[in-house]
Amino acid sequence: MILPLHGLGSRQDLPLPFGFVLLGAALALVVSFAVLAVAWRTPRFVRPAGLALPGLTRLVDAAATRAALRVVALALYAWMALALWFGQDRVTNPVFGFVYVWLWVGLVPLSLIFGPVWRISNPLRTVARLGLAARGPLRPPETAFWKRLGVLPAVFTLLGFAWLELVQPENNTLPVLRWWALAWFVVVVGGAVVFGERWVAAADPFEVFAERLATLSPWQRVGGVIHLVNPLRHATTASVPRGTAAVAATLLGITAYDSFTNTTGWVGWVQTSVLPRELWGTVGLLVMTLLVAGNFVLASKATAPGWTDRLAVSLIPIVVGYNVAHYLSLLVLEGQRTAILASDPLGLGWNVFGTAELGVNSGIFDYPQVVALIQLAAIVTGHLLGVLIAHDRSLVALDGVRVVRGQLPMLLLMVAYTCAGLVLLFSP
Amino acid sequence: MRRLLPLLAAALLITGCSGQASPSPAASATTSQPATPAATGSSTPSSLSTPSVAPTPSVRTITIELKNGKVSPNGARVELDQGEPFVLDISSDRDDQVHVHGFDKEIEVTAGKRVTVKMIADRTGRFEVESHHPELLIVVLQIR
Repeated sequence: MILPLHGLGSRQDLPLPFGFVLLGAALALVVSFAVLAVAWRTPRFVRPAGLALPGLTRLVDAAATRAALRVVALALYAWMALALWFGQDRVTNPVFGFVYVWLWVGLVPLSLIFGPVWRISNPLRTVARLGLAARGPLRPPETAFWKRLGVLPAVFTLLGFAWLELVQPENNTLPVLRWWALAWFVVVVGGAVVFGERWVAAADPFEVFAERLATLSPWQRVGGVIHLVNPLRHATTASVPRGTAAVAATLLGITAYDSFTNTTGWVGWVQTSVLPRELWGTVGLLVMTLLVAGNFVLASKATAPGWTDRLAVSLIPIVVGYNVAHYLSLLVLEGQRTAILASDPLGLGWNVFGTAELGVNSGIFDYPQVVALIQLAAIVTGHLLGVLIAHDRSLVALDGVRVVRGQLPMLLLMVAYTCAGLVLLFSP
Repeated sequence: MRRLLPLLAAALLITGCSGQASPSPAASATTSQPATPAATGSSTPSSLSTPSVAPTPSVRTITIELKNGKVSPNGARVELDQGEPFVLDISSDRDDQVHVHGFDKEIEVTAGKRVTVKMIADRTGRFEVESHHPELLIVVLQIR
């Protein structure tokens, strides 16, 4: 990543030991074929079910809870906006860590643990709602439009964010970040004012990312009531908006490209090239995303035509595993640093939250082996969950025909993704 | 953080980095000396026989050359053990800074002069060593 230039993420994890790469690849293979050989043969997760929690539902749906969540999230955005527009252009400005670490990385554990909490607290939604309160959307589209749209706009906004994070020069300076924040605000809130609040669910990269991850959380609404459910069942029975495959492939492609830029071959190549590195970065990011997406489309078509988005649900755990492996130590270290810096958004020596005097606990770095183990475990677990979801979905898609052979394309693709992820973490 | 650089540069100048040993408290020591033989006579007596600030033979030396806007090594990886001392031996054809990430170490480089910095790989991880004008990745220290 190009972020580390000054401060943010100035230390990266050691490459995964080669033995771990081999072990991970072997486990992925064994797990995949074990699932194929011994797992259930009739679809198991067809409809949502779990432990109904009416009390929790009432609490979560209470107007006061909603308002409190919205106020807290809006206040957080506002606080960071203060740092963005009026803070100092230094590494000590918390807004960089907020955007690149808290939001981009932090939404992963938040959504996995608490479910779709970001949707109900997303500050851009709150702002859009305030804007829409006076008068409805300027050009409200029909319901069919939203179905056609799905989450497709988020493919572009996610790539936009990835470009900012991984390609944009000087992306840890305020002028650059301000332009991007403005563009993001205009696209998401502006679109909501024109088309209605549903636009946020289609176009806000953070909300779309968070919502896809929330389908792996143990909280699911069944008939309006929150249920405690098996995350696998949640993933397979959650609604699948159009563009899910594209979003999943983009997320995977972004992380893969991020890893890929750490390889010495790529660095050397880009640095000696006469062409600008932004061009290489753009090409690399797009090629990596298209590579992931293209292979997925081929494999899903080979399984059952018309199932691309519904099978793509199985990519989400792989995205999570890879994300954890890639960003965990960044979240631990820079997440702390951001919390410390958040006390003083304008660089005036404030200590609003009493965190300013704290130091970053970097104890995690004394245990590189443990970090490597967590990385390996995350990737293999993500792979296992992905394979289980793909298995159950494929059984439905194949509808009793070629139930074993029909799953092979998806299975091989997932093994390939996982091995590629491991190799990239080994960073040759 | 372009804006930070002049500050850091100034700080380094004030603390006398351009001349002799840097008083930087961290595990490092900077020395700089003329690279051209013509200029060697005046400064250190030993410089004729030992052109570099002789690191003991066991210490790993990473020779860095900044030339015509290119860097050598060009993004290569250097493996070190935790606690191992190492030396960055930098020469450049222009004024620049070499930044060792994660060590918060910014080394001022003067055109035509050679700078050697001794450091200790006291933390594990992967750390980038970069030049700033232009911004290029020179080596990645991989410390286990």
